[in-house]
Amino acid sequence: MTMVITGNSTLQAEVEGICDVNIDACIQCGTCTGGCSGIELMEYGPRQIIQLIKLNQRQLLLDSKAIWMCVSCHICEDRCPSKIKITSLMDTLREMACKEPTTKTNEQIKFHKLYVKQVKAFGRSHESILTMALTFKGTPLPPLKLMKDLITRMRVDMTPPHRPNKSYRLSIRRVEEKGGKRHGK
Amino acid sequence: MVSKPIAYFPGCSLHGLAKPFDTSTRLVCNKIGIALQEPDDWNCCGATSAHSIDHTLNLALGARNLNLVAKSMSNTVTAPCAACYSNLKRSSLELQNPQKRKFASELVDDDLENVENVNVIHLLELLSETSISNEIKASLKYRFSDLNVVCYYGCLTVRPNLESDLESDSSENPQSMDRLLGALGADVRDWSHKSECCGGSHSLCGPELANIRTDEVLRQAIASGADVIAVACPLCHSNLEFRLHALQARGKQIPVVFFTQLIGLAMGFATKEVGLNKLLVNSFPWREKLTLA
Amino acid sequence: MLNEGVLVVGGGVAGMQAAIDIAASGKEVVLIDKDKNLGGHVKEYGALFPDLTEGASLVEQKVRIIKNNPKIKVLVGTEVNKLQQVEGALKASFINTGNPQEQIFSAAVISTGFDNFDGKKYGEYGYGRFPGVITGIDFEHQEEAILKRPVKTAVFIKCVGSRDRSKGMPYCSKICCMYTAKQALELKKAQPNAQVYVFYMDIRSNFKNGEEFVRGVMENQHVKYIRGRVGKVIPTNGRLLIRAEDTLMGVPIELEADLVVLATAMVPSQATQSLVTQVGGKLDNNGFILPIPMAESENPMSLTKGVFYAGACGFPCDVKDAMNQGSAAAAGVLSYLQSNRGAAK
Repeated sequence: MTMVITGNSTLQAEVEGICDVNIDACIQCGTCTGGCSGIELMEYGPRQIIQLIKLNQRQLLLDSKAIWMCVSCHICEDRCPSKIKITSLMDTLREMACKEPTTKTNEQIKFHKLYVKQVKAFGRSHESILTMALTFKGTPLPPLKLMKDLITRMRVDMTPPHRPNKSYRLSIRRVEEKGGKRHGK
Repeated sequence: MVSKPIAYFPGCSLHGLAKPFDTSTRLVCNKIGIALQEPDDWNCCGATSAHSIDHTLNLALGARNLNLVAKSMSNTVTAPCAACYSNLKRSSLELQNPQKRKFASELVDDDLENVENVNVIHLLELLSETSISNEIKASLKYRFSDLNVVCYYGCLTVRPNLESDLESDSSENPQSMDRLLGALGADVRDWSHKSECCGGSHSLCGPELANIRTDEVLRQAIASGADVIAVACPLCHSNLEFRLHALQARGKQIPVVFFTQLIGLAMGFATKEVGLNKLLVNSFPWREKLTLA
Repeated sequence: MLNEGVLVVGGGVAGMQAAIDIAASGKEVVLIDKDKNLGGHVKEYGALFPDLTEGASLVEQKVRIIKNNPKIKVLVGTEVNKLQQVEGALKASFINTGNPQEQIFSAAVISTGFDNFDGKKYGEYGYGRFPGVITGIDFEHQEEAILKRPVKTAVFIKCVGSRDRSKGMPYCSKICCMYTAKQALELKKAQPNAQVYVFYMDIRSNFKNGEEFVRGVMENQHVKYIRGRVGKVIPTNGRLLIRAEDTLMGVPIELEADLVVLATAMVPSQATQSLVTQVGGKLDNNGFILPIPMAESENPMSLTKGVFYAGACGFPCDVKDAMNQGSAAAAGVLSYLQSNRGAAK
């Protein structure tokens, strides 16, 4: 596959405009990929993702599995000799992908959307309700034996979900109004 | 007695699967006079999801929580959950930026006064402060003997790791839990995966990856001679426990305990009080490992 | 009254060379070193790249010349704690075998050398924790033992503390590419069946015969170079599992080794800072000596009036370069003394 370069990467400018990262600081050492906790299931490691940003490969990156296989463990960022905030970079790419109408959904997007919906509604997440909601969306239930063992050990939250106060609900409304607006590095 | 009021952010998991972490944390802190103050109406830190797909929401969630702390009696907040800790800390770093602070204040409809001065520490950091760890040592009723432990910090109890955090634990070879449990008489083993990731954030949406990571952590822990894995993160805890449960027929079963449960036990609380009976591997002979201090 | 004695602080190869060259013209030299012996770091090195001269024998040769020249007074186990400009001369205070002493000199050379980066700062590599992980400096110090101990696989990791703005220093330490190649060569010569891998980001062999040396290590000794910086070292099955990315292939790789050698950086020595600031000199952002701009000084090693520097206290350099700088500083001292004498008359 030939990647045609037609000048400076607009993707790089876009990404750097959202998060506090200097893509050009990368020295392509591969330390990030070498210690990556999601690498087994990524088609591009973090180092390659950075290079693909330089090469303006927007579609390739936003459609990639790799950005969703990042587990946000911060290990790459911690070891990066160029202090690149790779975790923030991955967040930025994921959010961009989520806003892209052509992005196909996957297990992670489904989960994150469900989680966010629950947090917006209850102010907190509720494991049992979340698990049920996931099952409703097609994710297999946890093994029966596990559920039984957790229930007998009183580990399963049976309390009703949290009811956040008015100030919280107001904040969420504002987030929904202003969401997507850029607000500087 | 330490008698120091401190804001306590339990996080969502400690109301559910990780209830024993909450119970044992409160018991231990209460015993040494730390007054944990849970802010009213705290909200979820956003876990992995908010920062992954909705940065604005993430900013609002973090700002709101930190603002509750800023308005409380203590400007220090401690979180036992590594994900909450890491997210709160990231939010606090983000809110150092006046532009971000202004935007966040519009979102949460508050001037966010002093929010940038809130100090976010993990529970391990709190309990490792010299005066507090001395207090813990002074209140021990028992000592562990012949108990091999590996301390599993996970990825986020020690990250993001800042250069300016000279006091904080080294992210690659953290020591705080090793020291706390070492002081209980436990034989704490050094091992390679102290602060590697368990893949916990994928446990509900990508178990394949989570399994690769947990298998590796368990293999290394067992190879280093551990009888017990001590953790400081509810996600590490459930993730390792569930994986062991799934491998029940094949692998060695090993209790995965919250470090506060071990401290509580050595302080003289019963196994039930610290919630050891609630663990999936709950038949460990704890009594035999304790001798009067 | 002008005292024409010259003080040289630091008896590594740069300082020894400066002392030798200054004394050869008949001036009195006092050569001071905090260590018990002269020779600095180099006395503990094995063979030096690229011609494999033994570090110890080079130091022995210099020490012999110094001992045979009565103009050079050597004070070992001595630390200079004060160096001040006093009426066109330099007053030095030092403690020699418990006795505080003061002496006036007409010029000085600072050749305080460097320190080795602490490999423990990279917790992910397990130096000091996992048996089998050593630094390149340990390799030099225990060369004989290391070469004798059979290894199946050895891995060299470059840029440990160099080119790292996070845990280490932002600069390239310059010599690690070469000493790593040299150590890989020695290991292969001692144990031809050993598999030896070098993880690198760039290969910087900009020394005379440097490129040929590194190529020879690859082509003739079949040391395998892999482009990537190692992510983590994990003790596994009694060996050391290396996790990295082969950045040329873009794939994560794993390999098991018995010996891991970290090519640690050269960092500024603690001793340099106080001496340099006392005489009105400056340090750069990393803590090395900040030279006077080239176009403003008469001698490249000139620091302030009557004070010169040489060697790795200025910036990481190889042994040859350190000696060159020692000679250059000596030339600076001699020409300074000559013009000063003219002025005094």
